[in-house]
Amino acid sequence: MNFWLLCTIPLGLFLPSSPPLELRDGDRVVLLGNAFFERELPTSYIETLLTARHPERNLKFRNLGWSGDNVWGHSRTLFDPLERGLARIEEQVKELRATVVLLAYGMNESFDGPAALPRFIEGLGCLADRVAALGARVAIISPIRHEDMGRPLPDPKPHNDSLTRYVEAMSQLAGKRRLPFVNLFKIEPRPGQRLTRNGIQPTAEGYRVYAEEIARQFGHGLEQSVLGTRSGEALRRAIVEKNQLFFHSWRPQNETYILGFRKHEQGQNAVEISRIDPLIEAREKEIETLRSALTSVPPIPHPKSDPPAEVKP
Amino acid sequence: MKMRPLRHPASFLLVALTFQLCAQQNLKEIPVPDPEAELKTFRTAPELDVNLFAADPLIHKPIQINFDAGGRLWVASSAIYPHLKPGETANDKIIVLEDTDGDGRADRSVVFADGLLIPTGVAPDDAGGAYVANSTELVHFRDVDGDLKADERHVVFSGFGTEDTHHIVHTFRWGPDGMLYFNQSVYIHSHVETPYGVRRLGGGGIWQFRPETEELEIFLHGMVNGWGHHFDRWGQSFGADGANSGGVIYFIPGATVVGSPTSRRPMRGLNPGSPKYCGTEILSGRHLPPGWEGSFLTNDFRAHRVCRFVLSEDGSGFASREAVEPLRSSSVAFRPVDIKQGPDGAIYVADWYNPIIQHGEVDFRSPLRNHENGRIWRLVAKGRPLVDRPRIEGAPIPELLDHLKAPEQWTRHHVKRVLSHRPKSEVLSAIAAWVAHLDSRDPEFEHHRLEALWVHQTLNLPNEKLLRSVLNSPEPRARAAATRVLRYWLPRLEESLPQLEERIADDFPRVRLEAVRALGDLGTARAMAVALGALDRPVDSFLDYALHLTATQLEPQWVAALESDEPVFSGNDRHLEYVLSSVGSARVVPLLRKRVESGKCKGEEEQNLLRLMAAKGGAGDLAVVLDRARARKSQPLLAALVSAARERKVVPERGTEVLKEWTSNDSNPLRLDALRLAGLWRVEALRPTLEKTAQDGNETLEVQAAAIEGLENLGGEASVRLLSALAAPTRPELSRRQALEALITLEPRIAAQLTVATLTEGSSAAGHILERFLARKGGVDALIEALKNQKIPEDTAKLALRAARSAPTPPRELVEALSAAGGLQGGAEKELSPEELARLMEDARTSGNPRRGEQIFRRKDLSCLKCHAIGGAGGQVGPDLISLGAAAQLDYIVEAVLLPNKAVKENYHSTVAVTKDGQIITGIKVRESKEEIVLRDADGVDISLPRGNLEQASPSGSIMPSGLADMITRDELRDLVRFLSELGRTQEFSLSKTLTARRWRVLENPPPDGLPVSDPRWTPAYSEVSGALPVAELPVTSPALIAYAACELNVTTPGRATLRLNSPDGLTVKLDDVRLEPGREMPVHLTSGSHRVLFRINTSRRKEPLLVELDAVADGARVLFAVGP
Repeated sequence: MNFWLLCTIPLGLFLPSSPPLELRDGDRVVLLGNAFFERELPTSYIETLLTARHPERNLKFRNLGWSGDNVWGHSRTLFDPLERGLARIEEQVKELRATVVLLAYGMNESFDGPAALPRFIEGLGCLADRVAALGARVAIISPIRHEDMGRPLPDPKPHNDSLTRYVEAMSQLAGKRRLPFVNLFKIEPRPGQRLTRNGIQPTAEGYRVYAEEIARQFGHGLEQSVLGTRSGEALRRAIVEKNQLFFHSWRPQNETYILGFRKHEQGQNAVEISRIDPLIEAREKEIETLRSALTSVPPIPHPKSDPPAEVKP
Repeated sequence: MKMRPLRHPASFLLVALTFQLCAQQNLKEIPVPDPEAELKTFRTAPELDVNLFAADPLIHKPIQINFDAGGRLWVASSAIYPHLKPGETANDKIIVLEDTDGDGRADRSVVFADGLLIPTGVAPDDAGGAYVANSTELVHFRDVDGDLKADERHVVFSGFGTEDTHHIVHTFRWGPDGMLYFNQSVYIHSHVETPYGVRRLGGGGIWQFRPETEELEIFLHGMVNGWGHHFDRWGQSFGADGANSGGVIYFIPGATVVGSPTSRRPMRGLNPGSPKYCGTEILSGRHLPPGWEGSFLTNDFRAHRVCRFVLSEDGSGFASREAVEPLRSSSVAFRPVDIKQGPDGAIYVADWYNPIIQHGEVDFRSPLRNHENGRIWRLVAKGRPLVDRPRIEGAPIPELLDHLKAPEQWTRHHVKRVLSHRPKSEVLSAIAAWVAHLDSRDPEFEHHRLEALWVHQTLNLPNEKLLRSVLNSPEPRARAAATRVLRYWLPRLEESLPQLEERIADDFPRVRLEAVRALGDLGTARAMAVALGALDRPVDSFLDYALHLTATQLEPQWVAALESDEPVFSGNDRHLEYVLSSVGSARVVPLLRKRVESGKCKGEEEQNLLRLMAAKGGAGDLAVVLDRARARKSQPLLAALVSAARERKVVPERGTEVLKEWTSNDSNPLRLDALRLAGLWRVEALRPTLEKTAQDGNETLEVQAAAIEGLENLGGEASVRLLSALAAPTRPELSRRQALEALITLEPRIAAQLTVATLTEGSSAAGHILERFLARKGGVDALIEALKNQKIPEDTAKLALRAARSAPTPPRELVEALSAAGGLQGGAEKELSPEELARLMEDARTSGNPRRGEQIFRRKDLSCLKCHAIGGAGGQVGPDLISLGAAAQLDYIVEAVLLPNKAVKENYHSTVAVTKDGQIITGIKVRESKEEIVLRDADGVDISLPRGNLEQASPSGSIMPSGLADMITRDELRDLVRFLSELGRTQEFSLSKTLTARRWRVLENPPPDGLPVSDPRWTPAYSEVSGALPVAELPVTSPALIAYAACELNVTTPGRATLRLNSPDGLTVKLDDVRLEPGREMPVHLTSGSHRVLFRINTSRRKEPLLVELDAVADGARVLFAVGP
């Protein structure tokens, strides 16, 4: 198989029945999902590319990725029972007044194999409904392929067999509900290229490839990529800083003491969280200035060599 | 300044500000952060010397230290702790220290990595890089060019919880098996994505990570805040908990240690009643003073001490005794948090250097927190040569292998780490040659082979032949270690079961324990059957625990097998009964029933299985239990049925008519429970019997109370009518109270009116009645309504107020209503003005008398000991106060005594549960599962609340009553505070390291002559901190003035020991039934199990308090005094 072809020719990676997604001026976009989104923070490629797609549009992004999360929100429950997860997701989406929610789920669930697939699809449908009921447009992002890193890391074949079925079912669900669907599972590495560090966690290079695929579904041509350009990097750095601030505001440390059941002891410090908000707003202003300056978008240079394994924030 | 929402906003604001202010003004003098000044506060054990290895600016705020193969010391440090400021860029560091000239002082410091957020752990990988704990992440840094600066940063895993920054992943420790172990603590919920799927851990535990495969598993659950883990020479691992008082903990793989929210049966530490410890290192090698090999070192960071424990073999587990401290300091800022032995054999201690520890009790932003300084101290043995630092980095493989023979674990550990980065084929052929040339006459031959086996495990390349040879080693500890290796290689071996079957029959109990745990991984019923073979040889408490773990782990398999009638335990009744009774799930109920109905079990065994059936079974199963209770006339079985009906609302499907017979016969021992059951089972036909009994003045109060309880549960108009009549002010006081309490459950509004009628006349039971209203949904509102425009006597109002304020969330309106009715002012808690507080603290410091304070603490009416133990002896409801004085500042202690809700120790928050039938139960959550929540109430009673009957359960404040200040004078308060502030801080009020009897049972009403014969009423009593039991406090006979006191010994390994008395005057001593000649030293021979030492004390001849200690003798018994409530 020619991997090169697979990656360079924009294939119809989404079903014709899934409509393309468009971001409108004023949209508040929430990235909701598992570690795929959480670990994207240090590069923030997805947000950078989507921002650069329409530099004139005012778009705000918030990353609500949480490692280990599933369509029932199990990673978000802290001291509460797991059944509270979905309600917690709703609270978070509502608080951010999201108008668009990108859902990246399925990787964690797929380890439970085909037997657990119906339950997952039911959960995904329910999550999409609940988010849509809050007034947001929903798009579904598939899990990535489990990359073969050689032994002693695991042989990904059984997991990919499971993933194939999960992705297929997700695509059908999206088709049935006319939700935009991005298939990242079909992307395979070029020879010599590593998209992940351990089979499932994207490298910076991997995130670039996956972000470009997502951006493409938003009508973003590859030639328009700003990644690696001076102005694009300035924009990306501002985005990363903003995302870092937001991370400390929605997932603060010491939650037990400042918001949880020991807040009678240190609850006075909860006020510090609200002091992050103006700092985020200041970064948003900076992002606005930087994106507005992106008048002409130079073509994306194809990387000749792999970038460093991880990009430092 | 914006404050949190409060119940009394204004007053609390004042108090909160005041305390902060006072904390700054009155904190014991903050020492000058000069290492030389700190050094002067040190006192070492006679065998040791101490010197400064490194201090700021070379390092700051060390949290964890670990050496690399080159002898450099890596330091994880945080200036940010406890909390990042808004907008602050995280820039904590990993620092590498080097002592290039070997003079015992670091002379070079390099920042290896920065940009970190509270890095709580660092483990160099011995390939130039390191694994680092970075809050939510496990990060691996690589140094490509060898300049000790990280060039690459890879996030290996994320999703580790950060709910509390002194609980985030920490305590990085490589195992001899090539895996990296790290801990998380009780508030953390982690959700980690690995190439094998998600791994979740809520609560404390130890993770186990294999770098080259990225497998991440859970090695152990539990511990509250366990910062300490190390492996001994034979691969067994031990640790310490910084928030639990068990001392040294022996880690059985897969165990759940005390502190986990889920375990039915937690594993405890080896030194119950200890202070809390941080950091762990097991010592080895030639530099140590004689007798220190194998010692367990840890830090009592609250009391500024480095501590040493001597471990010894104890059956399948271990025993631990404390020895003299290697180091103690009088500086409040000396905070030893980590401890490691270095390449030279010296001991390195990381000193967090801070007068303030923790961050729940003291504001995150308190200016007293030290964010700058930090030290590494170095302890050396006086007059003993240091170990020549071995050359490991860059050494050829054969030379490395010879270092595996080193007596120092440091050397052997780094050899294995370095070998893991060498070409595998070269290592394999070299190690084969090395093993082949080992001299079998070498006394360490067996250990050398074990090291070779561990090299294979580190490389993750099984060698079955070598494994087999170590499994059959004549050295039992090598066999135990190899059995654990076998466990990890099981999936890759053919024929694993027969191998484990052999181990189950091993002569050495720890081999059997390891095999029992390994079998749990096989996931078959057959594996359970093999594991139960361990029951055919002696089973001690450690092995029994391991069996319980495996039985629980394999429950789905063996239950399924039994359900389909497979002859899985081949008719071995003992084995079958063991597994059936060792697990707690409802799934085994049909199996229990089958067993009971087969008629094969008798006596106590039958009773045991029936009780389990009653605890978990449905209506049909309960009918079988009732049937047997009838046949055996068994009160315990009836009591089990009472619990089933009360807690789970399950009633036997038939046979309830038997109650008629039991309730009417007044000599039937089952009558009391039968009266209760008549209500619980809603047997309407028995209402007339209950009504008659409840009113019958000829019946005992106990019987009347049971009948009233029956009526309460039967409910309905008729019950309300009768109970209202019984609760009328004209009725006798005691039965009236019973009726009133029942009525509170049924009809709080009527009960409230009757209560207020009682209160207006004055009632000494006001507090008790109030508690019942607080425990009833709607009770408080009813009472407030009834109190309107009523007057009650002041003293009665005070009693009621005290009870109202004891609630974790005191109902403000009720407090106001009671205050108004009693004509009391304000109604708010007694608060000290800032001046009063300052003066109280000053007085406590200057003129407080700690000895008088101890007597106040021991006063019965204050009930301090009912909830708080000191050194394990005392109640287990609140935190043990053993090192309170060392841990807490004076203002914190005053606050904790007067305003218990202000700061509550972790794991001591109460839970308020509301049941579907309107009961409110308050207690400390002891454990929870899918089926139930168990709360321990203020009386120390564990209450099981099935989730099915639970409306709500939410965390709340402290269950310690406030209003203590109303019960003691100001001078007494001053002395009490002084006493508490000395605990664990001064020699006089610290526990001695000798085993001392601290928990006693004394005879409440001793008979006039002779030893008590039948059914004596024992009550708990506790020694003073000194260990002495004051004779003057004991109840005595009249006129002969004889008292009886007994303590309990738990023996795990039998043998000789010596009981020591401060004086034999006026004593008669019995060990179980054997009379001992009283003397200062009484040699005894102890068998395994529990023993009672009974003292008959002639108090007219003996005024001196009684001090009983135990000296272990060499190769003697392993024994502890029982502690607890």
